[in-house]
Amino acid sequence: MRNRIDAEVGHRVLPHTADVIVEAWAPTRAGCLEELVRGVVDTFADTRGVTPTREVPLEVGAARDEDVIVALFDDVCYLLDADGLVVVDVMLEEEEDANFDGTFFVAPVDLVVPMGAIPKGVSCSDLQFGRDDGRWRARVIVDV
Amino acid sequence: VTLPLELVPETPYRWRIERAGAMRVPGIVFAVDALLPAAAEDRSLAQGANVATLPGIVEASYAMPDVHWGYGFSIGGVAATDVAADGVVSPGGVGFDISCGVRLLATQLDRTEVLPRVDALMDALERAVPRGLGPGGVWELEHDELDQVLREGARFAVAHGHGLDDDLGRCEDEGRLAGASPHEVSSRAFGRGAHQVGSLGAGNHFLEVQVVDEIIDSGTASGFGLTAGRVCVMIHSGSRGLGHQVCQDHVGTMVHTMKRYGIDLPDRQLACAPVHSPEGRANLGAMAAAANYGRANRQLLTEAARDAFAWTFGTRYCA
Repeated sequence: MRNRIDAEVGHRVLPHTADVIVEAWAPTRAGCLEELVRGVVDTFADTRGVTPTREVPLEVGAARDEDVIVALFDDVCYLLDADGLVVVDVMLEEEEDANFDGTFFVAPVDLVVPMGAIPKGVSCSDLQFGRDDGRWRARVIVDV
Repeated sequence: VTLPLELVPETPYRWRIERAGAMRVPGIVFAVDALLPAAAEDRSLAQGANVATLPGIVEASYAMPDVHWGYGFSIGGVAATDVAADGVVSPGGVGFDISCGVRLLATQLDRTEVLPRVDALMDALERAVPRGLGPGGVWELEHDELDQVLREGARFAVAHGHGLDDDLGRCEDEGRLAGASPHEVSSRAFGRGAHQVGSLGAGNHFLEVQVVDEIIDSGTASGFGLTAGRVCVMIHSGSRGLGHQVCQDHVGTMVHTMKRYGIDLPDRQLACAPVHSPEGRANLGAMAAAANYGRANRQLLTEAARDAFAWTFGTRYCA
């Protein structure tokens, strides 16, 4: 697993007795979610050097920020389980209604190197997403 | 629930967490001193205290000796609710991997017969047993076939040539849990499940070739057809992405409907609804459907193991 840590944008993986925890941070709400997706993908696939073969549009929104995260990873895991596609990168744009439009950049699973337990989704337990010390921070427990 | 929690010893093997705050019952932990989780490193006892706030919970929120930090419930946490007294069902409490379970298959081969060809057997299992990243199960299903799997479980698999009638008598609920409601399973869960029937998955799931080292309980061993030196196959898998999605969907619903029933909980993953409510009944039907998927999944994995033994040893016998 690769931790990407710098002052502005990054993610890290923390241990959990049942599964794995991923934390991400960025100056913007959308950037933080993007980094969280990259962080979770980094727990199970090495996508370095992989060129995405498709773009999949996405639209997520929910009344609570935590529900946005659940919906986002529902999409990531559906692409994996149903279509055999790994999210190599993601771009999100926050709309005026606080929902997100964006794009998953994906590649078939056989183009990436598997390197960890495969996620099935995220838990609602201890799900955190908010602004802290000038940065957006998110934290999820990933179910594997 | 406020930390730190006080653990009161009742016996050398049983500890009590006294009721505090919104807890409706105490917590009970079965463990010797050395197995007790250290609160600073492991939040499982606090999770047990959170479970004690579920409406309708009876007697206590229990923790088994293997208790460790999960989400919502701890792993190894057990609770029962009184359905007749507005007791709730908590999908997150049941867990993401609905009907995760283990099958043990006894072969007719012993260690000395298998060891010389164990590399070939591993290669055969590699080919026969889908696992890891992405879709790909032994059995690709159309929507109406998956609907039947959700209703009939392993029985549907055996009826379509994936196993022996005897298999059903040897597995839980004879391969089918009653009360399944596939219409309570979302299209997203259907989509995740269509390509994974007959696949191990990842995490702690496994298919192992094992040898009986020693017989301790001869009566039980005889019932399972086990003798010393006998080679066995153990399969651990569940309801895969479909089960996760069923749980997630129903947690998501109940998070928003709890207030209607006057329920307030310290952890969203514990979201629940009275068993007799529309949300509760829908969840039980969907969980039974996912459980049947888990039973069919293990049935297909059984057949995959038999194929690998047939390719390697010329005998499919694994019962």
